[in-house]
Parts: sequence; C-alpha cells; structure tokens
Amino acid sequence: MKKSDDKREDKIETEVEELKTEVEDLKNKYLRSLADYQNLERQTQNWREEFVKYAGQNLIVQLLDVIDDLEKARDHLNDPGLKIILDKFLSVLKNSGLEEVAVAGSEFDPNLAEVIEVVPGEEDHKVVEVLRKGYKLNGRVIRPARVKVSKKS
Amino acid sequence: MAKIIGIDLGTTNSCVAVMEGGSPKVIHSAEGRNVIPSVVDPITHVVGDVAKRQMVLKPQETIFSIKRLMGRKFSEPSVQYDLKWLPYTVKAGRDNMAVVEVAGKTFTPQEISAMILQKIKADAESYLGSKVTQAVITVPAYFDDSQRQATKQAGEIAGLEVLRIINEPTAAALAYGLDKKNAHTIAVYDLGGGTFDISILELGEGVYQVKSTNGDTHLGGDDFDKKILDYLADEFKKEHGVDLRKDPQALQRLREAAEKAKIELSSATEAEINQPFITQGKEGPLHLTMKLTRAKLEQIVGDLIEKTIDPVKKALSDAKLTVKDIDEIVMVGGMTRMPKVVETVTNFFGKEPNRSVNPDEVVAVGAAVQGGVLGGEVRDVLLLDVTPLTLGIETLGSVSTPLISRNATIPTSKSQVFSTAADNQTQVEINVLQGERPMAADNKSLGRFILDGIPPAPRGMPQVEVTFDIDANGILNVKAKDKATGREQSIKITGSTGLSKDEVEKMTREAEAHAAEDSAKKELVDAKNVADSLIFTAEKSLKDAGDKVPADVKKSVEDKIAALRETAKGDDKANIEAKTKELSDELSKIGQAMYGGSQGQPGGAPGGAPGGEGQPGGQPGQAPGGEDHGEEPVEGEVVS
Repeated sequence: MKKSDDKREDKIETEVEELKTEVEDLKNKYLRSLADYQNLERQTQNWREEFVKYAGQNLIVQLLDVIDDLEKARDHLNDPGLKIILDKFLSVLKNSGLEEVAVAGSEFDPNLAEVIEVVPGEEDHKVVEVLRKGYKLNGRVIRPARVKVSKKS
Repeated sequence: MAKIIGIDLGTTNSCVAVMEGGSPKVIHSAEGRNVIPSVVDPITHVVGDVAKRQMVLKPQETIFSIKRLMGRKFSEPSVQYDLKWLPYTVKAGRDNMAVVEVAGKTFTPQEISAMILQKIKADAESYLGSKVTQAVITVPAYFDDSQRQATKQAGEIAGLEVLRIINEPTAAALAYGLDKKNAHTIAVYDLGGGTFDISILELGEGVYQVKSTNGDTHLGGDDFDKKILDYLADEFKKEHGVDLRKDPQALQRLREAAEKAKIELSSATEAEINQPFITQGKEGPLHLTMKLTRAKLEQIVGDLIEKTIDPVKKALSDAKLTVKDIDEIVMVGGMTRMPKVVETVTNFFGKEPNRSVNPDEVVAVGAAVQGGVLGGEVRDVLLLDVTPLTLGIETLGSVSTPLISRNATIPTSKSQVFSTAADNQTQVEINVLQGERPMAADNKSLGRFILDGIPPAPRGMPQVEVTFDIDANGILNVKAKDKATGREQSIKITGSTGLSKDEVEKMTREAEAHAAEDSAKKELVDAKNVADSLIFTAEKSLKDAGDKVPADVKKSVEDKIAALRETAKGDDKANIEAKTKELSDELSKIGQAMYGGSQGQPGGAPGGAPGGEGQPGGQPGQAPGGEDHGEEPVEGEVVS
C-alpha cells in the first residue's frame, strides 16, 4: 500500500516537474515573441522614418544632376530669366533641408568631396577648384563635391 | 541572444546580412548603401565610399582589391601579375607573404581586410542596437588553406569570432534554399565587379561539396564599363573631334553616364545619355547627347560575355559532368542583371537560372542563413500558423463579406458592426464562410446560427457586432452580439484551418479562375443593393413628406420606384443603374418641392448609417432566399 503511494507521489512529482518545465518554456517563448513584436514595432517606426527621408533624398539626388546642367546653362547663356528660375528651384530644395557643401579653398576632406584631378600647387591637399558642387540634406552629405586638389611637386 | 552576421568580403564590394525573425535581411551601411566598397586608407582608417573618393589624390595610400593578395606568397604568379597594375606598393613580408606598404609602414592583407570588417561590424551594431561578436565569412571556392586562414585572422583582428568560413557559391545556394529543395548538382555563375567565377557543387549528406571551379580573375563589370565608355568617347570624338578621356572631369561624367546607361538597359531597350556642357570645343560648349540601344550594348560587350563560357565548359569537364547533369543554376554578381548574360547562361545550360535574390546581396544572405543555422535561430517559436483561406459572413444579396483575410497570422481576432436589412427584423442569421470567392454560394459554409430577440426597429438601425476569433490551434469562434440588448450567440468551428494543402490550392485556383465572372456577379449584387436602398429611402421620403409633395411629383416617384423594383429583379446591371439614377434624380424633386430646393435631399443617405458607428461595408444585409427585398421582416435575414 505504502509502496504504491510512493509510486504515485513520484509520478505526480515528475508530472509537476514536466509541467514546470513546460510552463517555463512557454513563458520564455511568450516573452520572446512579445519582445520580437516590440522590436518589430520599433524598427517599423524607424524604417518608416528612414523611408520617408530616403524617398525624398533619392529624388533630390536625381534633381541635383539637372541643377548642375541648369547652372552650366546659366553660366553660359547669361540669361537673367534662367537665373531667377534656378534660384527659385534651389530655394524650394533649401526649404526641404538641402544645403551646399562649402569646400572651396579648404583642406580636402574625403567625407565631403571626391578628388577628380590633382594639380601642382603651393600647398598640399588644398581644394583649388570645385568641379561639381556637393550637397547636404538635413546635415548629411547626399552628394560629395567633385574637386581639383593641389599637391606640392 | 547575440546575432551572428553573415559577411561577403568581396574583391570590389562587401556586403553584410543577418537573420531576423527567421528571414535574412541585408544591413545598410552608415552611408545608406547595401554594399561597402572594399577600399581602405590604413593610415587615416577611412573605409568604403569615403576612402574611394580620395583614390585619385592618394593612389599609393588607398588600398583596394586587397582580396587578391590574401594569404598569398609574394612570389606567386598572380601576385606578380597584380602588382604591376596595382598603384600601391606590394612587397614580400614575413615568410615571404605578400604585404602592402603605405607611408613607410607595412600592413598585411589581413590587417587591411580587418578594417573593412570593423566598419561592417560597426554598421551592423548600429543597425541591430547590440554588440556583434560572431560572424560567418565567405571566400571563393578556390581559396586554399592559407587564404582561408588569412580571412579568418582578418575577422579575429576586427574583433569577430569567425564561426565558419564558407564558400561563396555554397552561400549563394543556401540563399535560395537549394539544399532543402534537394537540388543535387548546381552551377554558380558569379560575374562580379572585377572577377568571374564558375563553381560546380554537389550535395552530399546535406552539405555542398565543390566539384570544380574555374573562372577569370580579371574579368568583370569594370571591363564592361570600360568598353561602354570607350564606345561613347569614340562616338563623341568622331562627331566633335574632342577626346573626352583627356579631360578628367568630362571623363568622370562620361563614366557615370556609361554606368547609368548600362543599368537602364537591363530593364529598358533604349537609354538616353544627356550630358550638356560636357566640354569646351573651339566654337563654344559641346553637349553629349546620344542614344544607346540594348542591341548596341550587347554588341559592344558581347565578346566579354562569350569569354565566360569557356571557363564554364572547363568546370563542367573537370567535374566530369555535362549540362544535363546540372539541376539548378544560381546567378551571383551585379553583372548577371544584364539580360544578355542571363540569355547566354540560359542557352548554354538549357534552363533558366535562379536570380530572384539581389545578385549583389545573395552571398551575404547565404552567409546569414548559415549563421542562423549555427546560432540555432529558433524557427519553431517564430513560425506562426496562418489561415489558409479568407473567413467571412454572408450579407445582403448572398455576398461574402470577409472579416479575416487569407494568410493572416493566427491567433487573431476581428470585429465588425453590421445591421438589419428590413424594418422590424428581429433576428439575423450568421452564415460563416470560408473561401476567396465574392459570392457566398461559391464558398464553403463552415456553420450557421441565428441571433434573435433584436427589438423591432427600422432597417439599418440595430447594431450587431460580429466577432471572429481564431486561437493558436486554429479554432474559430464566431460571436454575434446585439449592442442594444446585449444578447449574443456564438458558434465554435474547429476545422477552419484544417484543410489539406490540395483543398486550399483548389479553392485558391478556383477563385483565380472565376475572378472575372465573380466580380461581375458581385457588381450586379451591389447594383441591386443600391437600388434596394434607394427604393427604401424613396418610400420613406414619400411617407414622411405626406401631403407636402405635389401629386404629380408623388406619382412620378412612385412610377420610378415601380420601374426600378421591376428592373432590379432582373440581371441587367446597366439598366438597374440607369433606373436607380432616374429615381435618385426624381427623388431630389421631393426635396425641392418641400424646401424650395434650398436644402438637400431628405431622408438621409440610402442605407442610413445608424448612430455614427463605423460601418465598413455597412449596407443592410439579407440572407439567401430572401428575394423580396426589405418590404417586410423576413426570417433569416443576415446582418451586414
């Protein structure tokens, strides 16, 4: 009689153990999926913000190419009308957070500009000419400038 | 749990990916790009795009293509070949290994590669928001022990524990899950920026073994770009007598234009090249405007593509196989986006290659998959069941209104408020439907029940909330509750997801096959429902207005109602719509008669939404068989 009681107790104990493990396991999985969800929510939020930012950025980068052409036309044609149009165009983009990267005359910084040509000069690594303007959008370089840089011979 | 990242440490570009929620995700660099140029300035510790920008200024300090020197002896023929064209200094270091010298300091290829890996690690950490310490790195299949060892050391220098070095073609196969598809023999065609590799792999005991490799270490996208550039420059010279290659700025613009055209011609058949004011001629500025067709492009680079076929043949013969033995072909490298490359490969093997994964990312993706396997990325927790088919209820005109759409992850629940279709309707029947077809009769009825005891009210007034709830075991609970009285009824359906795969496929296929006729049927019912609502509104308006409506207007409206009611019994959608419009126009005359046209149509919008409660799809609903629309309370009306 006593023996079978012991046996039953053992059985119950193992069952309790098993259930405990299962509860622990399920709790873990539950917390994990909850965490995954929260992470996803947070990331989705980030992605959305990034997406909005990049979507605009892609378009602006493509427009910069056109602006370059317009500027060349302005310089060549010397047409005041074209100048007004170009200024208007740029002011729209400025309102969206676009600004020109000022590199002319300063020391070459690969974060802001790309070297296209090296020319002999008095000083080393000075930007002597900007061949294509660089731009920042909301403080971040979206297109590095293209520059001529000096090198002491 | 820390994540294990997968890294494709490439000759020209590198890429990194990680498993997230059971699927691989490519991590973008701090500069917002999916790949990082494998370019390093070891003195200033500048890596990637930024380092690339100073290449012209510091050709001897900006190291690229370092992979070509990894784990190689200085005396090896390939090193001797490369050092002739590499602008930086390559010399013999310890144990006669090839090293680079920058500003009087020597760096091993491992150290240079480690700088690229450090940037990758930092980018991954900022994306994941946690430390990254472990990685899987890929190497070309032909890398020997020394080269693999060097790659592993590079990882260690960067602070990464390299759990495994895997072959690039194997990673590409993993990215496509070919091991799970039991593709026995596969060919991986990798045309990258600077190198071409072909590898033949064979699956044995769940692992891919490299049977043979071949390739051309100096053939890639750069050669293609150069050919296109030369073509454009030659054309320009023919026309204007100016060689754009001699003007560094024009050359840069031309290079960009050539690459852009190449990319455009992968999807379009013609690309326009427009570079105004590209240079100064004798008589003023010159513009580069040119059209490049895909056919012309293919002619320009045709021989380069052809050059890849010989190595493929050699690899096959080394593996003692023929094209017939190849089960799958995988495309890797940006150049494989070119339609002509795909066509050439397809023609050679006689079957379509796998190319759905971005070819710039596929190797990193495969490395991440391998990392996920090593890290025991717990799929069973993350893999939740989905409902295979749409679940909904039947509403007015035997339409199936979906509540939970197919492939929704379960457990999930959804509620929607419906109303009655007739005045003084005291009960509604809920017919629970499963399937993709818009008409109730074409879907499978899972069960039905009646909610009664709804207090008599005009149609559209009662609010019955129907809730679908599927638990994790796929058991569907449908509950209908009258918001006014709180009375509710429910049904439990256990077989809602227990369909066999064949059944689901059959139902989905049928839905696709019948899509056109189904939507026509649905439109007809919608037209009938609109007509029905308008008749109801018209009759109500007439009643409410009473004697204030002139007799002739009243008569005319009644005629139009009769005409519309008759037409709505038939199946002529256009006619129903026309008659509906006539009645609607006529109806506005009641308003004009009553208010001298100063206030809109009385009686509210058809269907009269009750109490501002959100009522998606909230036309009054009716059960099948209820042909006599909304004139008297009909038993078995369904809420909608």
